[in-house]
Amino acid sequence: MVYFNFFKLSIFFLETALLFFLFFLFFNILFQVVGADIGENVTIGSRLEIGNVAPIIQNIDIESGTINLNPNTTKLVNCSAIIIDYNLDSDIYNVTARLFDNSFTYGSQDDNNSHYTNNSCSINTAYGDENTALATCLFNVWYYANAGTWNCTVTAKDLSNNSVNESNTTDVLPLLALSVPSYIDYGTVNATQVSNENMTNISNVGNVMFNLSLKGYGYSLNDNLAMNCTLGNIKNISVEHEKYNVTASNPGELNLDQADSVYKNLSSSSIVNDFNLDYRSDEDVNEAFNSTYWRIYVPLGVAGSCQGNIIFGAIQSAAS
Amino acid sequence: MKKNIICKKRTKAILVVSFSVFIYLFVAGLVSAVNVGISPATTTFEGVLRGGYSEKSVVISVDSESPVLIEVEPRGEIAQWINYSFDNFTVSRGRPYSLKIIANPPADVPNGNYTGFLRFMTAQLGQGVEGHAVSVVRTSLDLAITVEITDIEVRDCRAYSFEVRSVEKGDDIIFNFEVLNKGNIKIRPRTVIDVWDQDQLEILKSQEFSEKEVLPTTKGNFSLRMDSSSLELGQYWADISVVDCYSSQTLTFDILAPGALKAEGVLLGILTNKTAEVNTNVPIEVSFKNIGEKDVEAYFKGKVTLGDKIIQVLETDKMNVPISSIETFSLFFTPTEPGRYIISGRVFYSGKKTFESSTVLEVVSRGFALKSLLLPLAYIVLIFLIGFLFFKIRKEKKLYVNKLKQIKK
Repeated sequence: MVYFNFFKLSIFFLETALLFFLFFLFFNILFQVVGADIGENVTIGSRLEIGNVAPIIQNIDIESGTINLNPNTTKLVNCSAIIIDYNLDSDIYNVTARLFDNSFTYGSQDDNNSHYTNNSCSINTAYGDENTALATCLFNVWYYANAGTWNCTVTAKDLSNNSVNESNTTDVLPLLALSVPSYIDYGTVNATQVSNENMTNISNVGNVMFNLSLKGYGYSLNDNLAMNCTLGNIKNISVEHEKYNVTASNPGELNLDQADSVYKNLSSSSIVNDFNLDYRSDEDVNEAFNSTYWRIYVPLGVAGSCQGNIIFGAIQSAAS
Repeated sequence: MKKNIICKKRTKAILVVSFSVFIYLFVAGLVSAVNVGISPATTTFEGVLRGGYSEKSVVISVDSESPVLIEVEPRGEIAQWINYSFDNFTVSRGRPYSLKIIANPPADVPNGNYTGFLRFMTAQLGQGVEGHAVSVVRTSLDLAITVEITDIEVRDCRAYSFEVRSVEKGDDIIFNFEVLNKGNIKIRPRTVIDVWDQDQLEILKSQEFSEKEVLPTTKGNFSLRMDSSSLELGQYWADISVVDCYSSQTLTFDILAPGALKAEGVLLGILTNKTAEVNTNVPIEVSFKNIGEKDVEAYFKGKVTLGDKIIQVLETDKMNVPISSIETFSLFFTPTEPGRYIISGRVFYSGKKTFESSTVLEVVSRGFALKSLLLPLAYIVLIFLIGFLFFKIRKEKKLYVNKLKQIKK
């Protein structure tokens, strides 16, 4: 009997405790949900976190507007950005940049024609105030980089791994450029003989396709001579005796008639030849050159050392 | 035996020397090539008036350490109209030459596109060889030029780089700016300068200028002087408006006492979170830099607006800002409803004020609702759990009491 009463009493206490807890929870919920609207002054616990602020990229400048490339070499292109970090400029951890032809994308593979990457731009924290730094991102842009609109995207990261990027565009201007040897040496040629064939390579060292114009002179422009010589009774070689072929080689010994049939005569006026020499696209091997083939006929009455001039001209071809 | 070895050694040496000479001559022959280029490869003078003026520039460069002489010659139907800064010049590696090319078409030419080119020709690049027939090479690059003649006048310009400096009383105030004439007619840009008082309530002085001429496609530097004798010491605002170019800017300057140190500061920015939740404290930081010649006492005064309503007025305590240093004013704002808040204001210092700056704060309620519902939800789950336990206890109690009653029987 005593045991039964003790059991009942325990159950009573347990139920009372649960009910009490239930009431406590009920009012607690009320307080949480509508407490602020009931009218009493309620203090809201506020949590203030002034987090690290991401850097701000301002004023991306690429070579002050346009990029003029250099023939047969690289051009150092500076894509600079002013970076502001209100957590002091020492918070700027890393700045990277990509310079690419706008018809490609930020994620495209690096390629000398279209895409360049600089993963470690220099950061000058001495620039401006304590929040401002100057990031200098240099790129060695090759002469055969595509002409057109290019994009420079600068990415700045701070020590809290906040990352921002901004971009600006510029124009890579078309570069018409050619490379030729400084002279064509036919060697020793006897009178009434046609020289051996001389092969002269013309290279495209720019970023536009071009055609080749050719003209020759002896002493002065338009004198209808190819060369003037030190000895002999004539001392001149007429311009038509100097001959060229811009497409095919014709090796071996040739007489004048044979040479005339396979070579064009040089002229005192500029003759534009369809050359369509495209610009380089292979990073490893320079394929942007064409060979031209030359011979000279030495007439009677000429001896000694002979010297003349050839003008190799380039003009952008319509195909480019 | 010894002689034999010496002979072999000599032959070897001669071979090595001959091979080296051959390689040198071969390489020398290859590297004697000269690379010359022009950029851009073509140029077009667009929309040039008859008897008008237009200019462009082209860069000539070579890949040669020694200077290369370049001669310039115009060709084609436009040869008579094309002028350039120099007939010949030298270029070398790292020292490209920028040549200015000017198109001056005659007054009686019909409308249309006219073409020609400018030929850039190098001097002789090599020399003859004794006893040989040698052609020395010169290179030429033809810059294709198109001139588009029109009879439609275009007036278009842009004014930029506006600047004014504080002056001592009695000195002229000098306003500097640049004008780029993007049209095809000469312009004398009309410029109006209005000087306002410090509170920008009243125009104290106004002056108009239109003396300097800018040719089409060229840039002109302007330096306009205004008499300051009628202005008292203090801060002023100036609205410079280049009316023909639809360009204007507001600047500030001081009239200083002779020998006085200049107080000058800039509000670098108002910084806050981009987004916040309703009923949370939002920090606001205002950066001010003293760029003047003396220390200043500065404070920030601004407001927070939502739509047209001013929600809160912001004002900080005064703070001493030494020369060349940046100080940050910290404030807090607690938005009570969602929306797009504008925080704006100026820094006041030494009787002067900066340009107004502003920032935007987006306040949302979504995050708050979710967070605040999490706890009550947990309570409700707990209540259900307790209810379930209560029910279970009662059930077990009933079973137990029944069992006891059966045992008693």
